[in-house]
Amino acid sequence: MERHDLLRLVQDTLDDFASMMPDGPPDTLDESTALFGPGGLFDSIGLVTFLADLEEQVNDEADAVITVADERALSAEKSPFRSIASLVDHLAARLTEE
Amino acid sequence: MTGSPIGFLREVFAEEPESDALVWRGNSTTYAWLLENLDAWHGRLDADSVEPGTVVVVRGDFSPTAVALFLALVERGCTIIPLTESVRSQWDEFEEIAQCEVVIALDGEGGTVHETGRTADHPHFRRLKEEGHPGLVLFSSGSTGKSKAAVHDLLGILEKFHVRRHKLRTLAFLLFDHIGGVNTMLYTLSNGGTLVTVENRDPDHVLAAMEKHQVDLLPTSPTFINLILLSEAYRRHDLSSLKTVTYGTEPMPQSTLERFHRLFPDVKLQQTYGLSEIGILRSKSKSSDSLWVKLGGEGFETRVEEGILQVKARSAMLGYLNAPDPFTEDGWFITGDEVEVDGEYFRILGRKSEIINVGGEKVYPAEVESCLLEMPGVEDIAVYGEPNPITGRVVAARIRLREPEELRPFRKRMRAFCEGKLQNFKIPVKVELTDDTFHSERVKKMRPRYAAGGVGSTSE
Repeated sequence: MERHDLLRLVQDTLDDFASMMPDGPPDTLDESTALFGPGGLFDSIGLVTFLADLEEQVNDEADAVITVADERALSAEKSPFRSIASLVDHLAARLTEE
Repeated sequence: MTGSPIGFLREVFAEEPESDALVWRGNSTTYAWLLENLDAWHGRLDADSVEPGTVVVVRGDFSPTAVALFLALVERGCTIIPLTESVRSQWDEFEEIAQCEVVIALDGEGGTVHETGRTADHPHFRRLKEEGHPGLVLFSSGSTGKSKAAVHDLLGILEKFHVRRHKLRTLAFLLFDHIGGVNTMLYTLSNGGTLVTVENRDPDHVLAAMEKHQVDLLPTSPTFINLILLSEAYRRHDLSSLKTVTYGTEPMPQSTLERFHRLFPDVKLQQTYGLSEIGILRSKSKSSDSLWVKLGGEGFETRVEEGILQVKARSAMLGYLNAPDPFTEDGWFITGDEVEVDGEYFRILGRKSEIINVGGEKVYPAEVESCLLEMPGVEDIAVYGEPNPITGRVVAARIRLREPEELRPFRKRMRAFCEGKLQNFKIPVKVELTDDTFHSERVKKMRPRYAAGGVGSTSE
C-alpha cells in the first residue's frame, strides 16, 4: 500500500471515532493532527480502540497480518502514535517488514 | 428405620404414598414406589457387597431409579459421586480422581454394578468411613484448569432439609451432579413435592414440561432465562402455573432480569447463591427486579474481605481430593466472588478472576453483556479480556446476531449504542461476530479465555 492509501485509511477510520474524542472531532484533520499526548484527539482507551480498528482495516486492505500496537512500538524513542504523520510512517514501516 | 440419615425423608414419603415424587419421561412415580425401590436397592447392594463407606460413582441423571439409589447409598453411609452425561468425556478421569471403588451405571430403569478394584484411602474418605457418615463428591465445573473434586459430609448437607418448607412441583433443571441439582432434589422430596425431570434443556422442551406438569418452581441459570426470552418459547407455552424462578450459578444481567419480570410480573424472581464447596445458602432477593439479595440462613455466616465474599458454612466440604485446602485458618471459604454490600444485602458482581482490568479500571463482563443484550439485533454475547500493550487488558466480545451484518458497520452501531450507557473503557475494543453458542450443557455462560503466551484473562 502506498503512503497516501494509508493516510486515507487512517482518516477514514478516524471518522468512525468522533464519539471517542474527549474534545470532539477537530475542525481540520491533516498529517500534523496530534493523536495521543499533548493536544491529542484520544485518551488511552480511545487510542487503543482506534488502533484495534485501524489494524483490522490495514490488514484487510493490504492482505497482511501486522500488529500496530505492541511492546516495540511503545518502546520506540518517538511514539508512533503522537500524530497522524507518525502513525502513517509506522504503518508503512510495519508493512515493509512483512 | 431409626437412626437413618434419611429417616426424616422416609417419614415425609410415608405420609402421602400416592403423591407424585417424580415425573420422568412424562410418567409419574409415587412416593410409595420410591420407598419400595429404595429398599429394593438395599437388597441389590447387599447382594453386591457394597459395604458402608464404599465410594460409589453413579452414572446417570435424575430418574426414579437414580433417586432411589442415591437415597439407599446415603442410608448405607456410602460416598456418592454422581456423574451425568454432560461430563462423559471426563468419566474416567473423575473416577480416577475420586478413587471410586464401585461404579453403578444407570440405564433407564435398571443399572449395572461393578467393582473397580481401587481402594479409596484419601484422608477425607477415611474420616467419613470412621464416622460412619455418608459422603458426596462434586466436581467443580471450572471454566479453566482442572476440575476440583469437593468432598462433603452429606449429613451436613441434609441438615437444612429437616425443616419443612413449601411442597412444590419443581423442574429438575440443574444437573444431578451439580450442587444446585442435589439441592433441588432434596428440597423437593423433603417437602413431599414433585420433581419434574426433562430429557434436555432446550427452552421449548423445558417449557412444555412445565406446562404439562404444572410446575411451580423453576430453579435455573441466568443464561437459560435469556434463552427463554431469545427463543420466545414463552409465547408457545402456558406458564400460568409458574410461581417462582430461582436463578444462580453466574451473575444475572440486570437487563435480562427486568425483561423477564416485565413479561411475568406475577412470577417471583429469587436469586440463589451456592458453591460446590459450601452448599447453597438461604437467600432472599430484595424484589423480583432487584439483584440485591440477603444471604445466610441457619448454618451459614458471611463476611466481606477486600470486596470478596467469604462464607463459613456448617455444610462446607471437608476439602478437595485433588487440590490444597482452600479454607482460611479460621474456617472461612473465600468464594472469589466480588460483592457490593448495602446493609444486609449483597450484590454479586462476578468472579474476581473474570474481572477485566483495563488500565486500572475494573470491568465486569456481566455488566457489558447486560448492556449489549439490549442492543437491537444482538442475540447473545460473551465478554472477556484480551491482553493489550497499552492498557494491560482490553474488553473483547464475541457476539451472535439475529441477522448477518458486516463487522465494521456493526462496530460503529455498537459504539453509538453504548454511548452514555457504558464508560468508554467498558465498550468492547475487539469484536468478533460468530454463529456459536456461548453456553455449556449446564446452560451456564462460557466466556472465551485468552490464552496466548500463557496469559489468562484474569486481571490480577
